Amino acid sequence: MQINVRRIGLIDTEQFADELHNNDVNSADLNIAFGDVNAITALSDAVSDKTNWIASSSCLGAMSHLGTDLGDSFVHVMSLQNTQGAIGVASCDISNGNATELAGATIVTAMQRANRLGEMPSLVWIIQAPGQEEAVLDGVQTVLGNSVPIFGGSSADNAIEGKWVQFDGEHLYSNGLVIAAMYTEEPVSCYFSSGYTSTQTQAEVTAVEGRVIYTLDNKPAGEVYNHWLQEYGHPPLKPGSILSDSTYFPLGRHKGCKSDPIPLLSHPSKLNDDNSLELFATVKQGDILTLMQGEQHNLISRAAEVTEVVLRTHELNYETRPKGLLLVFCGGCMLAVKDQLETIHASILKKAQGLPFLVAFTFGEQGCFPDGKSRHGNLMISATVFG
Amino acid sequence: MTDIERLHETIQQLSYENAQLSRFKKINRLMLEGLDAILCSENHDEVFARLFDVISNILPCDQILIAQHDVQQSTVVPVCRRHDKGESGPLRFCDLTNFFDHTVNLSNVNLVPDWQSQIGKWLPEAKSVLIHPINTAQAEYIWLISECQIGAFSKQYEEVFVSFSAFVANTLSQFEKRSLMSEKEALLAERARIERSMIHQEKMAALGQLAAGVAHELNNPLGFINSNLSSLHDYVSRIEQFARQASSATSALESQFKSADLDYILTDTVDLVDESLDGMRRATDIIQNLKAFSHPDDKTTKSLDFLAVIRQALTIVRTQAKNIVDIYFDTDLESATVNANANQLAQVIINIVTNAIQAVNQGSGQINIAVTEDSAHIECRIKDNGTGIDEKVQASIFDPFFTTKAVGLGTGLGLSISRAIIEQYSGELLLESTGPTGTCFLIRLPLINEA
Repeated sequence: MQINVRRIGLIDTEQFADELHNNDVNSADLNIAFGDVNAITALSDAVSDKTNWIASSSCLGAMSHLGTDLGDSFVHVMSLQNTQGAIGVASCDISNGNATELAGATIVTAMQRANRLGEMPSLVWIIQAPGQEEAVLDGVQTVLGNSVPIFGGSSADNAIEGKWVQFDGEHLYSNGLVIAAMYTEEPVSCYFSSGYTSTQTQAEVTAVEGRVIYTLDNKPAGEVYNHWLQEYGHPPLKPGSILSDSTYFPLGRHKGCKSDPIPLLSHPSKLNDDNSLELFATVKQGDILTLMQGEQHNLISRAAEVTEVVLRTHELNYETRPKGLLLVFCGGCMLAVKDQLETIHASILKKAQGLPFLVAFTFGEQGCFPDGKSRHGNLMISATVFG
Repeated sequence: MTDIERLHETIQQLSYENAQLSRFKKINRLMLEGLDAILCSENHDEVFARLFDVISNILPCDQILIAQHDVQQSTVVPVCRRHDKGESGPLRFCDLTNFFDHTVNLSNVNLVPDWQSQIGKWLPEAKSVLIHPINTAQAEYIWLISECQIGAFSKQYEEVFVSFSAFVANTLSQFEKRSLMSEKEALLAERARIERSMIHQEKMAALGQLAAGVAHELNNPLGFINSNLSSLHDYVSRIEQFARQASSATSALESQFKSADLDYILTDTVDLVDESLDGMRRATDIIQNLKAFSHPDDKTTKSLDFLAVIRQALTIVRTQAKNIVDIYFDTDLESATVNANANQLAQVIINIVTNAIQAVNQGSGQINIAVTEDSAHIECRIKDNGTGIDEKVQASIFDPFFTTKAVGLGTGLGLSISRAIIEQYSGELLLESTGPTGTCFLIRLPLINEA
């Protein structure tokens, strides 16, 4: 397997198209791309061949070993070539019906395109519009079971305006789902982490509808959340978007094995006038939510730490140095440490030791914990290495 | 990062690494317990039953199955499985070639085209199936593990499964080697038998040539001796008659007759000629036997019922056996077709039964003749309740001119001629057993399938 990462700027449309049509990209088994909304939109106009693409808009821009672009329209493309296996890509518009059923049909199509119908992929890489991630995962797991690692992220825009886009090489979606079923001969290792600390503060979800929590322990959810923040020395939040204010205090559900549970985070995005609390993930009535606590320096060091863990795990397991690294970093976390991105970039470069890498900033992350089951969370970080 | 945060992060990292290490632990357990299973098992079925128990304890699964590629039939056939669920019929190799090429982890068999008409027959309850090819020096196999839920086998499970495949391959190779060793031993034994047979045949051929030469050279002198003795017998009878009549004509002649003891001389002369003629006849019989020994193939062969030949031969020997021995003939077969000459086969039966009659005690002797068949041979066992053949002479009984009978009672050619006849028809004549309770000879001839 060969992995190359390119950084292509949207300064001149013709030059952008020329650079996209270089050999690496054209002959790739799969191109994974991230950039801001404009870059991905331009990408969809420029791509004319039948190469497999799985591209998504990323909050403000994207990062790779070639640099970080926030606010400038650059697309960072990771091209996987000579995978000695098969990769099938399929997509759908999830506003066209039941998201679970559509996701099930889409993964089947992806497997068909890889000519491996019925076979367990070594990795399912997924990008989707935010909103129905749990239903999408459920659809894929209905077809493949819970053992297949599903990694990816939810598309992002710059200001949570719903402008995010997804691209499969042919169609540009605003509410789309693109799935790559990857059957690679060479090994793949993944790591999924939150990096936040659990507090002793907990409450049970007593009224919920989708991603809107009405009550926690039978009290208004917004009131309970504000009370918790005050306990930790923060002022109460006012109704409206609370995304950046809640970044260091997300809500966690403990998943994985009982002896060693791992927090799956949900990011409170909005406090409504009726004191209900909106999240970027779906919770269920009866779920126990734990107040999680994060620190800025922790968010800064996480990317390098997960890079170190995934490389060590891969080398321990397969006794080989991987050929490429893919990081999915929560867009909310990125916004909270935006002024420290150069430090983050340098720390990843140091750990990657020359390995090409690509980092996306997403509004939701999908990955699997050591128990093997893939889940959707917020404020999470995932690392995937190939080869 | 606080100490607590660092601790949480470390625990999470360690849990990932622990998952990888548990893979190695599982492989080690499989090796260790698999080895125990092999060491304490005695046969193929037991080894795989124990091995499958070990595998299913460490790698949870519903069914384990190993199937072999039958190159000649171009099919794939299950050779062992954990549970007797599902069919075990052969499947076409051309439909399964993909599985003999690389590991296939089927997370949802319902999506696989034609699954139910192929491996689904073997694994009707399976939803997930993990298949790995195993190649040994002798054959190609696939081994399959199945579960009745979708997506049961993770990548980590697959890695353990594939790592353990080398151990399973080695186990299969061991069985192939054992089988090869046993085949090799059988072939070596067959080669030794053929070599012994060739030496015997060469010896027999040399003896046959000698016998043919001797028979030919003796035949003419014996012919005129026989002719002369017959004439002499006639002449002596006439001389005796004349002498006795002439001696009674006068008292002087009678006196001379007595004083010359001519009465004794004439009587003895007739007896001497008679004895010479008897000896002549025995010599002629020996010559005939020598001819039969040296030219056992001078007869026409055809498909015939061996049972009818035995019955015919027994009618002849029963006359000889009367009041000495009881002869029983027993078979469940309606017929037993062999390709041979009827007279020669009858001669073999008569030879062996005659020997048996001479070996048993008068009055309490019993001879049992039983005929059975397997897929390729007719086997006739002739068993007596005599005192057995002395161990010292057992190795020589098929040698020409070897006999334990008194001089004049046997030529020592009966068993050697019999063996030559049976071997001529690609059969075997063996001393199957002998001891104080009796002796058993086995005649084995190729069965002709009339259908």
